[in-house]
Amino acid sequence: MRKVLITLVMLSLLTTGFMFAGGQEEAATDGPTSLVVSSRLWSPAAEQNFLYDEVFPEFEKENNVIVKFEILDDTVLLKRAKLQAETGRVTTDVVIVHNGVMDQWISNNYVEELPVADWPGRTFSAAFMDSIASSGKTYFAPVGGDVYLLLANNKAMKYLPAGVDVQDITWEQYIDWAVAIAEGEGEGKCAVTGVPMKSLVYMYGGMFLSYGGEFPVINSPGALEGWKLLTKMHNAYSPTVMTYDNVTAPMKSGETWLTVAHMARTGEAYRSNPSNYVIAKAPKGPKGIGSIAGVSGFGVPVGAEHRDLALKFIEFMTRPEIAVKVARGTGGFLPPIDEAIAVLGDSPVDEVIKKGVMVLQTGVVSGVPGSAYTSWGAVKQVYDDVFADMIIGTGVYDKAILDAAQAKLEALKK
Amino acid sequence: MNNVVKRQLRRSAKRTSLYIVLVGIAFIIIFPVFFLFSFSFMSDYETYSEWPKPLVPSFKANFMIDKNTEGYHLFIFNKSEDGFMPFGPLVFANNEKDIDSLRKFIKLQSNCKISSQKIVEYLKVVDNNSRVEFSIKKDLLANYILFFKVVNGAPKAVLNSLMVAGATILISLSIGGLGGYAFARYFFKGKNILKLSVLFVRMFPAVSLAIPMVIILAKMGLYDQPLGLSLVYSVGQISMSIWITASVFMSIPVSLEEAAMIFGTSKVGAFWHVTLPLALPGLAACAMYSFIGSWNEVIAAVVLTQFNPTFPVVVYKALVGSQGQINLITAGSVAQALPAIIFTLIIRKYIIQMWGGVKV
Repeated sequence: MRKVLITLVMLSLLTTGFMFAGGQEEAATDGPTSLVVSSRLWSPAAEQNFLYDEVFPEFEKENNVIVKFEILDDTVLLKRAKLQAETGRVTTDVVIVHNGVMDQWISNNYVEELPVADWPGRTFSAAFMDSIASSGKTYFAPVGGDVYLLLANNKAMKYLPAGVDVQDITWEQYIDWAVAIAEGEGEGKCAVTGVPMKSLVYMYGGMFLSYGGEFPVINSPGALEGWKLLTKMHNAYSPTVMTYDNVTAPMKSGETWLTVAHMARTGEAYRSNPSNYVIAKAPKGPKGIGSIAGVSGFGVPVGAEHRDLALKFIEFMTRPEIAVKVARGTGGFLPPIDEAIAVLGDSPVDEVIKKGVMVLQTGVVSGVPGSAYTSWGAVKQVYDDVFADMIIGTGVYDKAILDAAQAKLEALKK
Repeated sequence: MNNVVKRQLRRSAKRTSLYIVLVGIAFIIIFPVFFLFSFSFMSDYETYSEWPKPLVPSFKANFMIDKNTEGYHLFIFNKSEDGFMPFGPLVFANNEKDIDSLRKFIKLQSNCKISSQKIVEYLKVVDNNSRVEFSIKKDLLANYILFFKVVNGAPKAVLNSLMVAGATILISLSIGGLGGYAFARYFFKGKNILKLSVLFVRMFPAVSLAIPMVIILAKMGLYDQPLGLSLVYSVGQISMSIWITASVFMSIPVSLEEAAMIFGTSKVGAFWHVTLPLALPGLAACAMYSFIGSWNEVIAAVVLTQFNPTFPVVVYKALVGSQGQINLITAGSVAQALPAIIFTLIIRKYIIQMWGGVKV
């Protein structure tokens, strides 16, 4: 028994010794500089692995630097920026944030202006200029744009109303299709994110834009048209829709057959077995294809320790050939650089990206006005509540519910 | 029916009901764990495309390639559909680019390795016979290999977790053991209140301690260091160790130490040669609690680490970041559980001894 105790103690001493030895070794090493990149984008492990294996090594070799990449959400990134600005100890060299919060970064002077004029051969997509620039100065370099796309399992195709082209479908036709599937199969096969505070607001918001609505107004004339149609979907959603926090899993498993969702999620299901699905632009309304468009952006925090390297990193990542490589390897986000879009091919992932580009270029798109509200999560919840009450709950159109919901949205405005 | 038979029937009914309840509870506990292990060996296609899910992962996958005017088509056998279903690209050609994409797709989605050369051979057969069916042995450990490959920093995180667990055991056993001995052997004013008060630190959620700890550790230069994290874990583990070791030391008669001292050993010698060996089961239990507690803890570790995360943090982040990759996450979860299971198995005999009481 004593031997075991001695072994245990020795083992513990050894591990502690290792820790100190490791720390000393790190301190003593005069290796390459570490560039800290804190990002809200590319959270899936496979995407990070792609960046580490296929993208960062070239930059690291060119600049004798090691890229340290970490995932944090936008709220944490903003809090950290505030803390670092107050203490003057800026440990992050590059941030990648969502366009919904970019104005907070710019107005609080957390990021510096980017020398985009010194980076030739790239044109940032005009659709995102309002977010990334302010007063004629560009503060963020766009990356990872996204819109909403339609994905259908092949099994759903037999219910597609006669004469309807899935690549040019209207919302009315989409809803008739979803209803026909539910009637034919005895249960709904349509997916949307039913778990509160996910992306339902964007899917519905995009639809309302196609009817002339304004995002995120919930009772505009366009939105009312949309809600009237959506109540027909009472039984068209999957019985377990309220448990979906993203549509990838139910679409991959075949539990659901039809969805309009974020292109990264639809793209992931599509790429898992392209021959099993049809991917298309989001359905259109009288005003065209409506979609909420999001984008992330590279920025350099004011006072970043490795500022020059950070700028070199952004210049590298926004080269068209790198941008398209990143887009292909990280799930099919849009490369928001015109020159990168021009080189897309016909692989499954390029198909996803091209459909997204079509929506972006021809559709009625809106950004996410998150900063106009005290809590964007609460805005999402308002939409989620109406969905639960009026679509899944009663299936009866009730303008009073929508007016009450809009009053809540107004109260959330800053 | 006489009373004896009635009584026997009633007893049998009670016993049967008890066993049904126990089997039900065991089923509820074991079934998710079984599925966790089972999913970790399944391919992405098996995990998502077959219903009902197979209880045991398959060892091979069956494919078919056929050809029409558009080109070649790949199919995979689906048990739910009891037939071959389309798999991979809508259509592919016999060129290097398409074959290489197909090879990668088959590996990623079905965990089956096939060379480009072999695919070309099959295509030649298809050209002559219009279709070909073939089986490929599945790589059962593919998810584990992929997890450690794609999850950034996973191998280093395992080492970090071992360091943290080792240091937590060392700190909590040494301080907690001495504290427990003092509570067991010495009488002083306020002993009971003090003994109770050491449990106060366990009454606060880990995350509420973690946030102020960030500031303290940053000032000490231990933020994002394994040692810093082990110090935080030790706060809670020391109090547990004190309580366990105090009860163990109390159960060992003082007369044994006194007898050893009569035979000429010192107080320290009596502790080292007599009390400590008898207390080993209790210390082993403390070590187990400390190991499992620090190995599995994730909330404080998320807050207190940045570039040197522990393994549970890596698994947690992979889980949060993954969309529709449950087989990969189950592989990570099983990999996380294994060291704790092994450690518990190693020290199980001491734990059993403790539950059975100290035998003198």
